[in-house]
Amino acid sequence: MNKKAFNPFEMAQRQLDDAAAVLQLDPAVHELLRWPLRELHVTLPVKMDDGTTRIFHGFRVQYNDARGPNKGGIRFHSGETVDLVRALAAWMTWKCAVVDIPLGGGKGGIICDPKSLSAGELERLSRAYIRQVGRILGLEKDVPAPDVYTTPQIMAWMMDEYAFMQGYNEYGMITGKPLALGGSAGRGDATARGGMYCLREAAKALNLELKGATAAIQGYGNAGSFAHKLGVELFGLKVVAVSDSRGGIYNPDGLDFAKVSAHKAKTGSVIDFPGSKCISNEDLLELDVTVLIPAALENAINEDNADRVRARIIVELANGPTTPEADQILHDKGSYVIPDFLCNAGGVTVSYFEMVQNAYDYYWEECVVHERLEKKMTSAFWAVHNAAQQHRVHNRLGAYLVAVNRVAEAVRLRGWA
Amino acid sequence: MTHTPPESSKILDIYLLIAQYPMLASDIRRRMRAELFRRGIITHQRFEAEVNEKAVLSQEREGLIGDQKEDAEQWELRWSRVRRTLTDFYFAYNLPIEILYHILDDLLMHQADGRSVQPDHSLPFNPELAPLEMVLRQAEKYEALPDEERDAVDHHLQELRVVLLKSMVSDQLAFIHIAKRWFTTTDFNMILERRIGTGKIGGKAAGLLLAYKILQNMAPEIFEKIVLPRSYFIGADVFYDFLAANKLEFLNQKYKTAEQIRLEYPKIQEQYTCARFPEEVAQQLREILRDVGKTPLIVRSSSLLEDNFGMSFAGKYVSVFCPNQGTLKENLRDLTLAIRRSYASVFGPDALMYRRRMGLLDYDERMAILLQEVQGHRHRQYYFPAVAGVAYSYSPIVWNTRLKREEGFMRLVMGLGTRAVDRMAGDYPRLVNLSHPQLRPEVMPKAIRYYSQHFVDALDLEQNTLTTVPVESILGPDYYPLRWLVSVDDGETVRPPLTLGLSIDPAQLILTFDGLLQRGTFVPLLKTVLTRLEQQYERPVDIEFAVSFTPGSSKPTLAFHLLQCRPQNQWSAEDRKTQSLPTDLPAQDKILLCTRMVPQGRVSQVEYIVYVDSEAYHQLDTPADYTEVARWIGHLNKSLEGRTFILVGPGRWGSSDAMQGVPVTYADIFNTRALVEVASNQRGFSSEPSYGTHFFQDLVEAQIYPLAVYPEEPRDHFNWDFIRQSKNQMSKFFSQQTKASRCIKVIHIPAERPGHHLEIIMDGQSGLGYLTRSKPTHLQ
Repeated sequence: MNKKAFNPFEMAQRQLDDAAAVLQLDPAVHELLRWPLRELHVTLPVKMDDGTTRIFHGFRVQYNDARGPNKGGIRFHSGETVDLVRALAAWMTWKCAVVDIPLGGGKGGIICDPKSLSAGELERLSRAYIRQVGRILGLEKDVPAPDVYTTPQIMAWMMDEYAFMQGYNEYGMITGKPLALGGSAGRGDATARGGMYCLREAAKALNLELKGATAAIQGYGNAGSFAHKLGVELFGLKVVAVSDSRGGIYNPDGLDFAKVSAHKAKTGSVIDFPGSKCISNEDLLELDVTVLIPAALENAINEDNADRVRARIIVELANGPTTPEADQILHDKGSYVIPDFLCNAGGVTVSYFEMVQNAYDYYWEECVVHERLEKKMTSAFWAVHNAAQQHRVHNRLGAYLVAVNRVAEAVRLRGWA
Repeated sequence: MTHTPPESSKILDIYLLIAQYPMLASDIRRRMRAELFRRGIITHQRFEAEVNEKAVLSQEREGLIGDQKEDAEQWELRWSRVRRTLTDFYFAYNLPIEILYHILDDLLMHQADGRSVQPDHSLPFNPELAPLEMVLRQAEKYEALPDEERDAVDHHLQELRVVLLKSMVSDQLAFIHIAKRWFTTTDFNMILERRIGTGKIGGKAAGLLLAYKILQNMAPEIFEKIVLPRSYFIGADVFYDFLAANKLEFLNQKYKTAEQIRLEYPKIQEQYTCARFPEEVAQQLREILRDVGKTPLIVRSSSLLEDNFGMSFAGKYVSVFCPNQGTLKENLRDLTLAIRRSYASVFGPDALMYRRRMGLLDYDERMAILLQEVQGHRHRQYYFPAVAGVAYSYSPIVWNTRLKREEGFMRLVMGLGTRAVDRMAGDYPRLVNLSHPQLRPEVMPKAIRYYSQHFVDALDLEQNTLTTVPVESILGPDYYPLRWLVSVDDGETVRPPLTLGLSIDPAQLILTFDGLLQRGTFVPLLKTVLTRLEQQYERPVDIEFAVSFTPGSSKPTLAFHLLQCRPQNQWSAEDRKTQSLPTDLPAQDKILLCTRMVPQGRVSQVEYIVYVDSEAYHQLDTPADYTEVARWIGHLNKSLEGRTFILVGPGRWGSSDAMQGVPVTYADIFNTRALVEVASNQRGFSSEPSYGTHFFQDLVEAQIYPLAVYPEEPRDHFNWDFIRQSKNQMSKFFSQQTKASRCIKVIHIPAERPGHHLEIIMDGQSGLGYLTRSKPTHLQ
């Protein structure tokens, strides 16, 4: 009866185990990849606005840097646990590997409630974290980025603190910085754009025409709204339904991006958009469309509704929108899933571009970022597609196969196992 | 309606005043006549001739005709009496009573000089029965005494002030108890000068003047920044004159049934719209309109019961903006229409039902009007205050443990304060806890933008109307307070504006008020205002205010316009009666008790508890199952629409990490009245409550109360037995169930305890949910 609580790190290990089994991975390499290589736990004294000092705790997990410096966000969250950070660091390792950028995976976090901290306190906490963790960070070691409740502003403070510690500027020690301080052009829509390039390749693989094809988007935040814009701009998709946390809208003749986003900006939601029919988030998933883009909720597609999903291609811009059970159902019925850690890897890819630009201290035009992102995503897509076809597995497992194989190869070449 | 000329009461006042000085009376009248002659009001000869004429006429009136002449002594007596009356008459009709006071003071001074006697400061009349003018003059006389003599008459002065307050301001004892310390004759004279008609000026005006007086006396260090809007009062008696003049029906609505009240209200509104104002009132309103020119006005209800201790009547009576941009005739029409609408609201179902609930039906409620210039400036075609808000000296809500309730709280908006007072779906005022003005319930730039004010209420001076406009159509470099109100959202950071150059894009601006909150004197000033008012009111208060800025300063140089003050609702005597937590409950009736970060409020007549069982929830196998629980909650939210229900579940409602709580979105829960988080450490699942922070502003605006109960802590309580033993009604809503839906228990309270419901009372310290017997519907 006394069941153990769900442990995200154990889940990450199980996912690796599945891939390792298909790959018949060397047991020592497999065992090495099941654990983080390094963890640093830190204690941070911070002067509060009222003159008192509060002690915070944080960590940085460097999961595996066989392929290059670790890469992964820093989270500020009161419910932060080291197991969650380990799991997220593992997933970063596979994500960087699947898009074939020369980076490993990491993640960090501070246990804090940012809603109870003033801007000054947040700044002092961010700087305190870098003073402790800075010794294992750097362009060649480990490069953090924004994550839960961390912002470009926080990245700027952290970069500044690190520069003081080193005695020189090293912009590339962190990404997601403001544009005015070494950020990269093209980051705003990077996630959605990467997903759209994958969609284009998937359509090729399936011999589908995207021009005029119908699409539904669940979630209208950054990724979802850019997917609407880019889907129309790049391929002429007909987006017939979109939704946000308050509900969805449907118009079989298509929804105009500019008008819908203006409506959302004005009213706070897409619902009640003139000329559209109101639908629920659940109904949206079951629409008869060619492309379904879950861009908001985890586990939106699950064993209960997977059967009723009618889309030909599912573009997973959200993290974890499809459950493992649903994955199998979709695979069996012939739906083509572009799995999340491939599909939304556009973000980390542009982060990598930011590092590269910082290292050269030369900044690219936005079109150059798009062009290079396109190349990366296209080749990543085909690597995953081919692996899945070759091993007759669904695409998620296919993506794991590609990623784990790449990391394992680096581990072996380095002579670690 | 008959009106007694005001001079009649003046003659009486003069008569009564002189009657207090029987030995000096002749001298006084002699001096009065001298004053009349000196000023050329009448010549000496003409006056004496008129005395003769009137004396002869009085002989005839009394039957002395022809030979029945009276003797010289009697004639002399008659003649002197007529002369006395005529003196009073001419004086009353032609000269202000102040001159009589001067005559009196002068005579008394000479008396004192001549005889070296101590001045007599006794109160020579009963103020309760005396004319208002006489009471006021006596009070003035006392106030003018040197300090050493003042002490001896202080008790009389208090009595006089109390009588003046009762007849001119408010007869509510709790108010008088405080106000008598602060109001002086200058204030009463100001009210008289600015009052139309007779009667009290009502609760809202009373509260505003009192607060202003308290700050004048108790907050000298900030008082130069406090502005009292130019105000006029329409006395409460005019309300009755209006009813009588128009022979309006529906006078005793309050004793009708709720249904009749509701049905007949539209007719009343229609009747009032067509009714006419007494001409003398209309004339005075016309004069006010001439005085104020094109400055916009607001007609604010100020009923006798309104804003008093224990009954706020918040939102029950109508206040109306008059942009005042038409011709004089049009403006008068709009102004009187606004007043008529406010009058009609006395008979509105909301107000009458509220009075019925509070036991106030038998009170002779009348509507006075507080007519004020709208505080603001013109920007483009719009007129609005740069900032407006409501502030509470004791914060009704907190969203983290650092925030101190006793330092106060406010809701800030740009433009007219209607958006701070009212709750608007999808638009948000800035919530500020004054202990930590920089903290807000949001962190990420997107959330800060989303939970900000998107629309501004303003008066459109070109269209002569109240309007609502998107913020970006008002914000721009040409708006000088911009720096104090906005942050720039460049898509990556939300930061203070560095420059306000012409290139600034209004679409990038978010109303955060950070400049105002972080720099300058605003927050300390507001805290001083609230603290001083709370100290003198002897209970927490809430105020409405507006802020204006002086252009061209590197720090926000501001003026603080006080618009309203009243005792904070939940802390007033009457509400305490209904708001206090019962202490004698049987254990089985007590469902939950929370003691951390409890808001103030009440959720009545709860019919359903939707409970997510922590243990079953954490037994679920996959992340998808957790999400499914959230979707089931969403289904229940829909199914229970129109019913009163609360949600009770483990840990953090709305967490993106399902292990920490059910990952609902706001769309899944918006019909609930309370969101209860059970912080349990059972079986190793530690769930730290979020207090609703995942959608805190949505909860605040929808008045959904976030509560957290710690069952394992001694002060808190959660009735596990009731929850476990109750029958699960889930199958009545959904025939098919899943593993996930089985975590959810729907408890129908009347099914468990016939005739009962759940009541939740939150007093800011504790929140208690208990079972109580439901009243029959007709008594609710």
